[in-house]
Amino acid sequence: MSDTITQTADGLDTKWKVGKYEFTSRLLVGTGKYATFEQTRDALEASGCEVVTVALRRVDLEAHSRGEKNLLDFIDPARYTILPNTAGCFNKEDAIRICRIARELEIGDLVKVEVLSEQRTLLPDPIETLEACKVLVNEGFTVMAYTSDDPVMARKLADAGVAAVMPLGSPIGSGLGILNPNNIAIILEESPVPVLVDAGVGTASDVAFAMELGVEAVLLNTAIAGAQDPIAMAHAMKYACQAGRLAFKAGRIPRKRYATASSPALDF
Amino acid sequence: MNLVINGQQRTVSASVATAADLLDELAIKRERVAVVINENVARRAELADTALNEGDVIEIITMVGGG
Repeated sequence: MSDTITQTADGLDTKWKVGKYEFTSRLLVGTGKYATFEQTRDALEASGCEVVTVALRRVDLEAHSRGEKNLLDFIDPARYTILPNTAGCFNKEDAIRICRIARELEIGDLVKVEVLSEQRTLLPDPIETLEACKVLVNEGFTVMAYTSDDPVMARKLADAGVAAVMPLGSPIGSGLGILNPNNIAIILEESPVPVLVDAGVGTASDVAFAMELGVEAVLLNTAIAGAQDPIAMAHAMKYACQAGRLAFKAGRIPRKRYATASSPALDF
Repeated sequence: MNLVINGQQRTVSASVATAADLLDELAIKRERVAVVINENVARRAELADTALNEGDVIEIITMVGGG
């Protein structure tokens, strides 16, 4: 990784890098599960994100022939970095195939590799994920690997050459937040590549908590799209991400069992 | 010519000879899709040079909402 550290415009933080890509916003937002495309567009805007994830699927030819709009009518590729994911893949072959197709979209070589084990938990299959990542790294992709919160797997993925490891906080869409912060902290200590928390975030405090652990960024989708007011939640997530990041950089006080008074003893 | 496009049998006009022609016939913008022909991913720069043949199985893939 380059040692060049670029300050953000407000001077409060630095940009972060994944591979050759550099970003200011530390919130990455998914485009799934929204009520309408307009809501998707407005939520992304409110979140301040720069990276948005998409899935790859067949063009709906019937809808297209009826003149129906699609996601790409609402996302400006000049404004956002689009991160294709391999969602829906349950084996390495499918994930590799999706990434090779994604490359021909000519939006860059950044891919989120997600190879799931089964439908109920949507937990990543560690072996298929690792093997897919090895092939994709070899083919020149900038791989952001979705993984469990297992420090051993995170290290193996980093050693395989992925550009970022993305441990889950908890299962996709579960809203359970960061279930194993100790593991995330271990991953952070050991990882030679950026660490992002991806999946399971439920509300703004989960994002702040993840950022306070020291992760580079947070990727989320359901927490915004499924909120009662997605636009309001997108705003909340933006500020929570910034707050958590600044708190991390500020260096918190230690946790103590007993009190330390904030005011001097009474002297009259 | 008869093709299988996104899982459906379709007949396209005789003027469709290449993948680029197909996208034009379907009024699909090249910048939004990737084309897979018989499990081979077509290079975007080569779409106009990628000939289609009777019975080809074609996937026209785009970006949709996802997390």
